Amino acid sequence: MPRVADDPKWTDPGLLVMGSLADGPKHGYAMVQDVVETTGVRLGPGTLYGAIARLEARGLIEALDGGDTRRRPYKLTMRGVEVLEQQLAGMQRFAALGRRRLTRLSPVLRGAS
Amino acid sequence: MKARERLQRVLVASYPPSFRRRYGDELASLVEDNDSPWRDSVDLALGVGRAWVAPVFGGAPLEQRRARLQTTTTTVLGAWCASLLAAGAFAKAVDDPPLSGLHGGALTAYDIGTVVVEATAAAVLLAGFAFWLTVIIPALRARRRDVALPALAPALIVGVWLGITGLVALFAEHIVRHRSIALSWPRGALTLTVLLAWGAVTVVCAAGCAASAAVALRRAHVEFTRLRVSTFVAGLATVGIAAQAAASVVCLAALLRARDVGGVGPRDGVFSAGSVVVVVVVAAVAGVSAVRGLGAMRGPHTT
Repeated sequence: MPRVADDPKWTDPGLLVMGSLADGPKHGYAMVQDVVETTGVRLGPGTLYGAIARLEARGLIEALDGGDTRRRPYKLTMRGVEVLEQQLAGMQRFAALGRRRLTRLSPVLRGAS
Repeated sequence: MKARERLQRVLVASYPPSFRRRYGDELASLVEDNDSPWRDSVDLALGVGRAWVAPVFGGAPLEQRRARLQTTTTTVLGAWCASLLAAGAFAKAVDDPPLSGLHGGALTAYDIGTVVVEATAAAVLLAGFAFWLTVIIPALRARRRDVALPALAPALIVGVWLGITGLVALFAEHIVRHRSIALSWPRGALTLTVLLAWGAVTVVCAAGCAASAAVALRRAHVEFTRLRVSTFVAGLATVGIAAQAAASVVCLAALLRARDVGGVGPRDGVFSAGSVVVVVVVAAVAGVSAVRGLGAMRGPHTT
């Protein structure tokens, strides 16, 4: 189904970055590629590093020491893992509830049309 | 190098210094690797705006708060320099020579604004000098030229500006004495050029003072407890800038109401309104920064 610009979005850049890092440490370029492949959303460089800076300041992700400073990898912290789990659990509950409601609503709509 | 790549390099270099130090190399590398489309340039520009408007500080909690106080100190210092220039421009527009509408409420507001500007300047210069000593003395003792040179630069810049201003004053006196000759073509154009150049030099000098002080403060890495003092002074200066903005708005409104009786002409109106807009904007910027800085002052002094 085609998406339009006004559709509600779940694509918060911080959540996408954390979701990407749940698969293991990655640097910026690898995060962009991973997010495109898994969600179809392309994070611009300003958006990506704005999100990284906020997540790092909140202690949800951290940079791995050593290596090339131009391709510094990041990983989730323990607190980041907890926050991501809470967010995903909330989204899962919301998705399940939404699906149940749609299942009840669909026959009514079909009957109306 | 393509125009887009040049633009993206400029945009990466436009991020705040703290952000650039932490993420600049990675961001530049990502932009190079991506063969980024023009859409990414827009995204970068928005990122630059967000980074300046709502800066994010890394490190331990106390270091984040320390960086916040440092940013507030430098932001309010820059805002104060801009408000001084705006005050000078406003005074030139409405009081040199005095506009016919400058009486009653307009004059009261103008006088209050002048006193506020002078009181704020006295407080900032006094507190700033004491704070400056706590930066420059350790830097000189430790032979840290990277801190001492930008810390001394404002004094040098003010000295150069005073010298240039003295020469312009001599030139202005010459004009007053030989007004008919000085205002004839092409000397009239020369006079206008000299005055405009002096105005530009003044703006550049103010920006240079604020920028070099900010560089010295960043390099000195002043500790949290001392930055609490500078942030407190920044809060007071912000109140002064806000009061100056309010007085300017009231004065300009009273002058514009008196336009029918020769209160303010189009040229002075544009000039004074422009300076009021500047002081209102810098008061808003200083206000937001001061509120954030004063908020970061609360809490323990140690990690």
